[in-house]
Amino acid sequence: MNPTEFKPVLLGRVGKPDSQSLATYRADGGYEALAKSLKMANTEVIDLVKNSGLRGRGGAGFPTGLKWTFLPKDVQGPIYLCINGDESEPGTFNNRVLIEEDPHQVLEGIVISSFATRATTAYFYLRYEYGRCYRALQKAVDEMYANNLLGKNILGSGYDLDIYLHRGACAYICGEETGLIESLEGKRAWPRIKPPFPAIEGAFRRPTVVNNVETMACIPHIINHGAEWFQSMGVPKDPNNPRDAGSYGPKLYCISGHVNKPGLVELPMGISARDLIDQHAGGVWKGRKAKAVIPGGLSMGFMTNAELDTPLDFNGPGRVGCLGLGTAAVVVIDDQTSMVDVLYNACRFFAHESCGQCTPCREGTAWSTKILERIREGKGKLSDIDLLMEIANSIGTIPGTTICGLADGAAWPIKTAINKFRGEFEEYIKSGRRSESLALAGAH
Amino acid sequence: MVKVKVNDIEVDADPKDNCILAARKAGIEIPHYCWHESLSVVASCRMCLVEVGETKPDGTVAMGPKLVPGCQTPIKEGTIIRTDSSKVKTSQQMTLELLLLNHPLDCSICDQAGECYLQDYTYKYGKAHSRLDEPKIQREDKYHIGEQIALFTDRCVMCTRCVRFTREISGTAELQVVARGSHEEIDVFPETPCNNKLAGNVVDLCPVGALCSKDFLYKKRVWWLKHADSVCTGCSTGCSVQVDQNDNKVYRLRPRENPQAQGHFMCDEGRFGFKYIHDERRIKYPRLKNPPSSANATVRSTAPSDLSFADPWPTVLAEARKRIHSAIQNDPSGFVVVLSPFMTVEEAYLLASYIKGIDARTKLTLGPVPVVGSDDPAPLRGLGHPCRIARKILGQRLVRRRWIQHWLGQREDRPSRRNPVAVDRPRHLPIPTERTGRCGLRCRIVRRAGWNLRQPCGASPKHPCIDSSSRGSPSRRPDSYGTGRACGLVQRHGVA
Repeated sequence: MNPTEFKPVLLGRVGKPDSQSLATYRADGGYEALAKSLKMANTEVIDLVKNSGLRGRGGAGFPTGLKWTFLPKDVQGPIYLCINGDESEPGTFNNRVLIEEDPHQVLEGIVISSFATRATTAYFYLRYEYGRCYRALQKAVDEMYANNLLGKNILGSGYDLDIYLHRGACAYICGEETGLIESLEGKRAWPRIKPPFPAIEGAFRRPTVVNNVETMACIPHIINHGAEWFQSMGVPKDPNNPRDAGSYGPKLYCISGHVNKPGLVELPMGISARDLIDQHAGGVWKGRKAKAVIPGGLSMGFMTNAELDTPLDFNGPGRVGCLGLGTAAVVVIDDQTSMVDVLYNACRFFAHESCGQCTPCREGTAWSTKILERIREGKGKLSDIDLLMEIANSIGTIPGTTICGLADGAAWPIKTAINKFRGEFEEYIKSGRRSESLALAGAH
Repeated sequence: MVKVKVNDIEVDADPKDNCILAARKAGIEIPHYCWHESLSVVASCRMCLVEVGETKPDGTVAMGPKLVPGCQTPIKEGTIIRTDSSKVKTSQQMTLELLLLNHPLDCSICDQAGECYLQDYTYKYGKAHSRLDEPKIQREDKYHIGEQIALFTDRCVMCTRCVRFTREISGTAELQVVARGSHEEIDVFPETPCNNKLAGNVVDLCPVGALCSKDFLYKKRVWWLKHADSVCTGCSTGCSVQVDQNDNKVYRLRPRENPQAQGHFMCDEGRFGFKYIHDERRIKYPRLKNPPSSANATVRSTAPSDLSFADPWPTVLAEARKRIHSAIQNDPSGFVVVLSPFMTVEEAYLLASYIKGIDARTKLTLGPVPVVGSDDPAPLRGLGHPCRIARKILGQRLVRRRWIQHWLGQREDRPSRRNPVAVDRPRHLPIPTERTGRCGLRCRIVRRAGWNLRQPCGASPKHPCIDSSSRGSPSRRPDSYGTGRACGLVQRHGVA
């Protein structure tokens, strides 16, 4: 499909008057997918989602249908579905728009997914800062209960589901799925050691599926239009790589940073970062050039200007040394900005948000922040660059030195910044100048 | 048993073991902080990262691409563990450097110096220099954390052993982790200090000098202490302990791991209740009450520690032997030996063997323990509220021990409301209510003698090792009180 002909799917109703209400959602064909899927067997729904090639939109890109099949087959007692609405990755705001503007689309996806996974309770974990989202969701859930779309015997199908809205208490780590589960249980959000994976033993020691909000929003459209329609968008599988699951479907790209028109755009997967900035974000501001671009949230690392033609699909950023697509939150950094300042702010964020469970992440993030602070004060040494690199390698090498993947995310900005902008760091240290720019305020 | 290879040394290991235990069997140490045998696994210190691989059916070895935590990784047939590769060593060095980053390095004034895992591991696996140029994070010491324990916050390595202990073993959950990232600390809620009956154990659990015993604080450098294995005399549970003394002064007691007695831990009453041994009035030397020779019978000091009037051991022992023999010869069936439940099993066994060896008609009894007031069970709160069950019955220390053992996984049968202490402590034993008996001795004898506690020995249909003659209330049959128990033991051992 040609991107210019693309009509927004997930954002199709955003901007319409009263888009949050059940009446307008139904008028636009809402809850037809739910009625349709309730007539199917739950395994048929899983197969449909599996065939569509939908991959989780939360960051790791794990195939959603496959995740659902990991639930034990003949389990007695409840299964839980957790919705990860703890959108804390710097630069990311796609869940927020989806929930605020079109909560019923997300909730319909949740009911269908719960039906597919045989979950009888869904927990919506929402970060505390999203007050408007919370109110919009609460209103939508109330409407659903009043119209037999939730509760007992949904639409006469005999299927029961309850949704609980849970507001977190502001921590980046709650976006990690087992950290989220711990937090949901009322404990300190320390990620759990795996195995057991949540599909076997998750929330309240029951089998649990954790899915992202945007993933949920895709589900009703897959049910309505089928797997082929979903696969008509995006980047097909790489035939040379048998482990590639393809990057299908529409994706919300959050564009922020030094661009003329920051915002949220929906496009088929696979647009290049350069096209995204030039065509959809009005180009880099003040007529400058992009020095670096974060392809998918801060933890994914940096791309240089030369790498901007990389397609932003699940494989693209990985090919240029980034961690992955992440949340597709594109942050543009112009050529007047010092990478030392950028990296300092990144490290400061991760040092603040490290949960403190594993030694390498707890101590390493704080140490790297201290080193960069010193470099910014003009007291850096050339050996600091190698030291930063060594710390980054010990925090999160892909060989897992820590329990959760967020340590990898804390290390990646350091690794990519130093690998790709080493000259700038060396020059900065040699010049011995002090940074003029103020540190960004903490995100939480 | 499965065959595991640790650094090319082949060992047989239990399939339930993790890599640390398997390597220990091969005589190889995998350094670790957060892991403890009796606590849950959190795998957070990342000190025990090792390379693990497996042997394929065709004999080839496939090593995993990642370093994995040895504490969390189970073993199976053909598992290969490598602890000496450069990858592992680099990771150990880096983890130690990170742990020492904000550590004050105040070993010279630290109580733990000499038995500190941070010291030991740094010497063995770490490097000599830190590359931190910036100021260290400084934190305030917390003397308020408990009556018996003090927290030196900046020495802490956040292994959370203490936090898990108060949650999982004592069930009181006073200790918490507060704050986040490199600023996090161990702390208590205001006005809820860590004063539970097992609180002293967190000092032993702490691998570094963060949690210290106020009782022992700054009293002695640990390398001057001499260690002796002993058994706690505080109650009839008889925890295995290690006595640390120097120059004939005992400085502290620490539990000695004994899976057949108390496991890893001991109560604070026993731990800190040894002070009486330094009492001036304690009788330290033997004296004969009615000496046979009238020569020194006239002038005797009343001072118990007065050495000049002590009788020499050989004289006293010979006299005791003579008197016991003559008493038994006079009336063998009327000769009764009261074994104290505070004796160790070995002592009781030797005494019983000796007496029964003189004449099989002599009787053995087990004495009760006089106690004023109600027994003091710990944990008071916590998992399953054992105290509620415990309060209803006597001998609550056993309940506590049973619970500890149950939590440690050493026993499958947990005390339930219907069967509070299952077999350890039969409820219908004739024990006068005003004198609470703690019958730990018998249980320990039974345990060590290798009896299956679930199998009645035949003497009593319900309970092993109890002679049915001991049933009934003591007021009706005062002479039979307790007589059957030790006899059963002795018969079992073939002494009588």
